[in-house]
Parts: sequence; C-alpha cells; structure tokens
Amino acid sequence: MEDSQTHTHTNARDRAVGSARGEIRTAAELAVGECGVVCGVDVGAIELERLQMMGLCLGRRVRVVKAGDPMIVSVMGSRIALARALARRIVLNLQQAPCRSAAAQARE
Amino acid sequence: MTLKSTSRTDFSLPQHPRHRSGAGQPCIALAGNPNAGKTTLFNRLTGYRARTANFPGTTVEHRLGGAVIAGRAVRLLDLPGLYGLGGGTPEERAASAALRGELAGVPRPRAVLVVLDATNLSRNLYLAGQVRELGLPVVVALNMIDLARREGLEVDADALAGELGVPVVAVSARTGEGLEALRAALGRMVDVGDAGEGGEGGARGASALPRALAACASCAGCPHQARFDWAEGVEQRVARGGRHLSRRRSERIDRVLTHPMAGLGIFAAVMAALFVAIFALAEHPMQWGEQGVAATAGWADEALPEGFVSSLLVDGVIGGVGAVLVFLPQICILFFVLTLLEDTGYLARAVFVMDRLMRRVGLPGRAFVPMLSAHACAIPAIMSSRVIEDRRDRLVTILILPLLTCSARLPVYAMVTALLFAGDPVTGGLVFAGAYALGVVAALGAAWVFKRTLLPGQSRPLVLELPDYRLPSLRTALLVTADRARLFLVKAGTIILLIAVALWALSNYPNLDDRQLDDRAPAAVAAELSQWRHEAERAVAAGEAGRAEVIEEQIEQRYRQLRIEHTIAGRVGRLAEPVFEPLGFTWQVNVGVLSSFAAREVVVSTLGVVYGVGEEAAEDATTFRQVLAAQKRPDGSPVFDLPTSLALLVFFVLAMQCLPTQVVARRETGSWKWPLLQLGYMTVLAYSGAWLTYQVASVLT
Ligand SMILES: Nc1nc2c(ncn2[C@@H]2O[C@H](COP(=O)(O)OP(=O)(O)OP(=O)(O)O)[C@@H](O)[C@H]2O)c(=O)[nH]1
Ligand SMILES: [Mg+2]
Repeated sequence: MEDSQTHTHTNARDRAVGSARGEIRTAAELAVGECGVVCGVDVGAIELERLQMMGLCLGRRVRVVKAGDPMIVSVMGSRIALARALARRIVLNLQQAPCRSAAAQARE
Repeated sequence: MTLKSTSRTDFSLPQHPRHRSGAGQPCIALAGNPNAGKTTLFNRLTGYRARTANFPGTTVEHRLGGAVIAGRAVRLLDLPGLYGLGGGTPEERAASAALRGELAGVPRPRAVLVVLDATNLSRNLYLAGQVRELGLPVVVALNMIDLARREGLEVDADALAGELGVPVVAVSARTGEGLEALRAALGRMVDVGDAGEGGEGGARGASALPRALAACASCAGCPHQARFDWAEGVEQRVARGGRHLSRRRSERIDRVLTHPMAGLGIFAAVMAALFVAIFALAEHPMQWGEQGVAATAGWADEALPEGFVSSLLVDGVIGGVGAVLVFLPQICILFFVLTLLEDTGYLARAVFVMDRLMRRVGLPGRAFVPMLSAHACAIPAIMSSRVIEDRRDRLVTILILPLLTCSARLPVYAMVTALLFAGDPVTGGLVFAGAYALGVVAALGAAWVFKRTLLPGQSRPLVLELPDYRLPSLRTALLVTADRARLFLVKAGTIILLIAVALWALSNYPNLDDRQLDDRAPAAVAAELSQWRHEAERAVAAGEAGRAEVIEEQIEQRYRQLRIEHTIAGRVGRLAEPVFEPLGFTWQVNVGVLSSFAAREVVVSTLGVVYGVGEEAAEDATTFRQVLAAQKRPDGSPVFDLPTSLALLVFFVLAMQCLPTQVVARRETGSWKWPLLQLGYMTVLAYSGAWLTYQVASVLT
C-alpha cells in the first residue's frame, strides 16, 4: 500500500522530533515493554468512544505487550488488541510513565 | 464468555418468550463488563431456569429468568456486556436502553445488579460509576473472588461499599460462594425499591454520588478521564496485591498464539482437531441411535397391521424424524467443545489472528464475531452483526453469513462422511473440516467480491479485549449443550416432523398397483421385468428355490422404484432431473434437495423417506447409512459414489436453504433486496461448485 509508505515517513519524522522534544510518540512506535501516558487520541467519533471506554483515554498508562499489526497494549489492567492504524493515532508521553522493570512488576 | 457479543444467548434460535407471566414482579437487571460473569451469576441465581428469548422488535437477545429472592419472586434480566453506557454499537445502545427502561418489550428494571470482575477492578468500576448515576438502587457483586484469592489479590468489599455508597457482596459465580449474602442484599434492595416505587430509590442513588464524579460534569477534554482517575483511585484504596501471575502467563501464551505464523497454524490445527474429535466421539452414540431407530421401526412394523397407519408411522415419522435424530450426538459434541474452547479465552485470539485475513477481504475484524456464531446458526449471527457499526460492512457480513457451516448442515455432512468413510474417522474428520473450510473460504471470497463491487469502502480497524486465559467451566458447557439439544429436539418434533409427514404423503401418492405400473413402465423396463419373470419360472422349474427368490426380490424392488417414480414427489424429482443431472444427482436426491430449501437437515429425512429406509430397516434391521449406501442407479452403479456424494456435500455447504434466515435478513436489512440477492448468488455458487466437484471427481476416479 502506498499509504504505509507515507506513514513510515511520518513516523520516522515524528520519532526524530519526539526525541528532540522529549518523549512524545505514538503507540505504534513503542517497542514491546515500553510505556507511556496517553496525551492525545486522534480518531473518528465512533472509534474514540470505543477506545475511551476501554481505557485508552487521556491520562491512562499504556504498555505495549506485542508489536505488529494488530498490536496488543495493556491498559487499565486489561489487554487490548489494537489495529496499527489506530495505534498510530494514540499519542503517548513516555516521560510521565517510566516503565517499572520486570523485576519490580514481579515483586509487586 | 471470552468474546464480547458472542453472548451465549446468541447461540440459540430466536423464540418468542413463551411465558410472559410474572409481569408484575420486580425486575433486576444485571450489568457489567463483558466477561465479568453476568451470565454465570444469572444462571446461579435463576437456578438455570432461564430460557432464551428474543423480544420482537429489539436488536439484541436478552435473557429473562425467574428467581426467588428473600422469599419473593423477582425476574432477572441478563444483558450483553458493556464497557460503558455511551457505547456506540447498536448492541451496547440496546443494553444501555434496557437499563434505562427504554427498550420496548423489556421490563423496566427496579434495581441493577452490577457485576464486577474483582481481578480487574478499575476498568470495571468505570461502568459501575456510570450505572450509579442512572438513579436506580444498585447492588454490586464483586465476582471472581475465588480467582482473586488464588492469585493473592485481596479486595476489601466493605471498603468498596464505603467508596461506592452501595452494598457490595463478594461472590464467586463459579463456586457459588457468597450467593446467600448476595440474595439477602438484593432482597433488601427490592424492598426499598418497593417502598418508594423507584422514585425514592432514584433519589437515594443520586444523593450518594461521590463528590469526584459530581464535579466531573465540568471536566474539560476527555470526559472519561476523571471517572477513570476515580476508578483507579478506588482500586488502589480497596485492593491489595496483584494478578500478575495470570497476566504474565496469558502474555506468555499470547506470544505464541497471536504470532502471525504460528498463531494461524495453531488456529488451523485446533479447528481440525475439533472436527476429528467430533467425528470420532460421535461414532458410537450414532450407531446406538441408528440401531434404536431401526429397532423402533421394526417393532412398529410388527405391532401394526399392514396399511396406511403402519406406513405413515414407520416410513414417515420414524424413518423421517429418526434419520435426523441420530445426528444429535454430533451436534451436542460440537457445542460442548466449542463452548469449552470459548471459555478458555482462545476464541478472542482466533479473532486476533483472523483480523489480517478479514481485512484483506475488506471486512472489519469485528465481523469475525458474527461469523463465529454463524457456525452454530445464521439467525443469531445475523442479529449479532449489529456489533458492526458501518452499514456497508454490516450488509456484506449479513450477505455472507449463511455460507458458514451452521449446525443444520451437520446432519448432511455427517451423512455424506458416514456414507463415504464409515470406519475411517481421520479421513471423515478431514472431509468434515474441509466442508467447514470451504464455507469459510467461500464466505471470505464473496465478501471480497461484494466489498469491491456493490458495497465498496474501508473497514473499521480492530479494537478487542483479550481476556486472561481461564480454565473452562464444565457446567457452562453442559448447560449450553443441553440447551442446543433441546432446541434441536423441538425442531425435530415440529418442523421436521411436519415436513417428513408431508413428504411421506407426496412420495406415497398416488399409490399405483402393479398392473397400473405395468401400463406405465417404459418398454425397456417392461422387457426387463418379463425377462426376469421368465428366469424366475425357469429357476422354479429347475428346483432352484433360492435363486428364484433372489429374482423375485429383484422384481419387487423394481416395482417399488416404479411406484415412487409415479408419486408426486417422484414426478417433481424427475422434472428437476435435467437441472441436477450434471451434478450426478438422481431424482430421489433431487426430491431431497428441493425439500431442503425450507430447512437443510430435512434432506436427510427426505432421503430416508424416498428410499424407504424405515421400511427396509424394519425388515432386516439394516441401518440408515447401509440402506443409502446400497442404493443403485438404473445402470447398477451405486447412487452415492464419491463424485455424487462430494457434489451433494459441496452443494449443501454453499446453498441458501433456510427460510427463517431469509426472513431475519429481510428484517435486519430492511428490504427484500438483500435476502433475494443472498438467495440468488448462493444458489449460483452452490450449483457451479457442485458441478465442478462432480466433474473433477468423476475424472479422478
Ligand atoms: N473463577 C471464576 N470464573 C468465573 C466466575 N464467574 C464467571 N467465571 C468465568 O468467566 C467467564 C465469563 O463468564 P460469563 O458469565 O459468560 O460472563 P458474561 O459477563 O456473561 O460475559 P458477556 O456475556 O460476554 O458479557 C466464564 O469462563 C466463566 O466460567 C467466578 O466467580 N470465578
Ligand atoms: Mg453473558
């Protein structure tokens, strides 16, 4: 798809900008195990409602469980399978949510 | 339940609620996230007395059941799972409307029982917060407490009650723990509701609103944020410990099961194993069933005097209905295993791996949910396609759903595999799986074509919760199985019985005697008959009584065939001969195919009737499949050889032969245009598919 081509470009640019600005990235760009706090969801009204009710909503902590398409994220204690097209529209702030190490999670 | 909106309730044929008694009893609605255990709890509280009911004019199936709580009769309403009250899908909107008492045909709830999954409190509390604002009295069931405890998670029910301002009872719907306390709490709630007739209860609810939520109306940005903050705060205050065990276990399993390659391979293997198991496990019960039917027919034939009544009972009723009944074990096993599988949480992963495939043909991953329940029955599947928001996606899904193998096709598949591969469960299972796969491939292919021609457009992207893996509940599986068995038996006792008797009449009248048949027999047959008579006489003259008897039997058989040929059914089947000949169908098979346009499984009983299975089974206790396997064409070759049997199988995989489905498709799409298109394209597909199969198989064998 030509579409994915443009997206790759956008993503690459975003990443460069993100690392310069600090830690703003989309959920699609996170590696497995990385976390962030949702600071923007830019999708149509129907998807927005759906995502919000499942916890993909401003201020919630998101962790990437599996990359790819569809990908899996963990939010509000449950795992959500998410089309990559949507994950690209979910903007996360990584600084606000340092991921606890696996060891810390296990201790919990 | 692992998939939102493949609610168990969806697996039943729609029925009109039989008893609307108890209309004056207070109604308590169960609300909760998908998978919180509402249905399990509902079954516990109602003592499994609930019946599936489809309320006319509504989109979704709700289950209404009676229960006795604190000495008084109440009604419980089981709703589909909800993440929140503002949900966008038609199904969620209907459930919210039911909670508000705005859904036609569903009683207005007096109180709400909110079912929370204790192992996932914060997300569940979000809905609880919304429900509280409805102003109805609320009781919270803190469910899955057994699971929480096992994983070292402590939830303080009293503290939670303090936070929410409503009674909270820790329960386990699985083990039954805490149910008495829950009943008591519900009883108090209904009494309160009684005193104030809803009005006061509403006021109580509203006045107890937590301050954080009351302030939320002024929140800017995401209106949900404050509620989620509140929910997370509450969880932190009332819960200690975590469910990291099962979460990490689930994540580890998912690494394999959602893998793009391995996941798909495992999915295929699971499905294949499922069907081999069905075929292998059902083998013995089916044999017992067949023997039972044969014995009953034999007994009835002896007990009754020869004539009209005996023929009607033995051929029409026992032959027809019995032929379908023997497939009950397979249907039960299918539902049992599917329910167990669903309960583990695997099916959500199946949706996950199927999503890529689905999107390639232009359907949203969500369409897999109705496609899954279509493997039980297309009718609830068409109704559950309401989970799809986009109209085009929905129409395409509805158009293709009847291509997926529903349980009504099982008897046909079972008959064909039994005819071809009796005593070879592996090959039989593979052919079975192949028939299912053909249905899936045809459905996806048809969707691809429709999405590129009639109904173009992008599909909606996937959003789906993947629940933790759990040990399935045997009790639930048995319950679903019993429910399906009951529906199947009801159908066999009504529709199938009626059609069997009608077909018996059509295939017995006009009942010509031998002389009349002689007059009508074509010259070749007449010559053959007289030659056989000569041979028989010569055999008698030569003292070969055995040989004479064999020839006499041959003559008798030929007359029987002639007689059926001249009945109404025979003539119709003959008329259709030029149409179905290229598929290798005989006129008897044509009668079966034509009769099955009302309901698929009827073909089996029709074949039982037109081939006189009841009668022959009565005579020498041969069973259904042996009688069919022994049928010969006029040229002496077997009727059900490989090409014809496979063509018949393919025809039934692809053909639209279900009147009720078409009626529901009309209702759901709002016009006859779509069901007619459905009938048209599926018939063309079925015919060409069967033709191709017959030609290819004929060349190869
Ligand atoms: N261990 C345990 N499992 C439970 C309990 N209650 C329900 N389950 C299981 O949780 C799963 C979901 O239960 P359901 O009753 O189908 O959930 P539901 O809320 O009706 O789900 P939807 O109809 O999709 O909204 C099933 O596998 C149940 O066996 C419980 O108290 N303890
Ligand atoms: Mg349910």
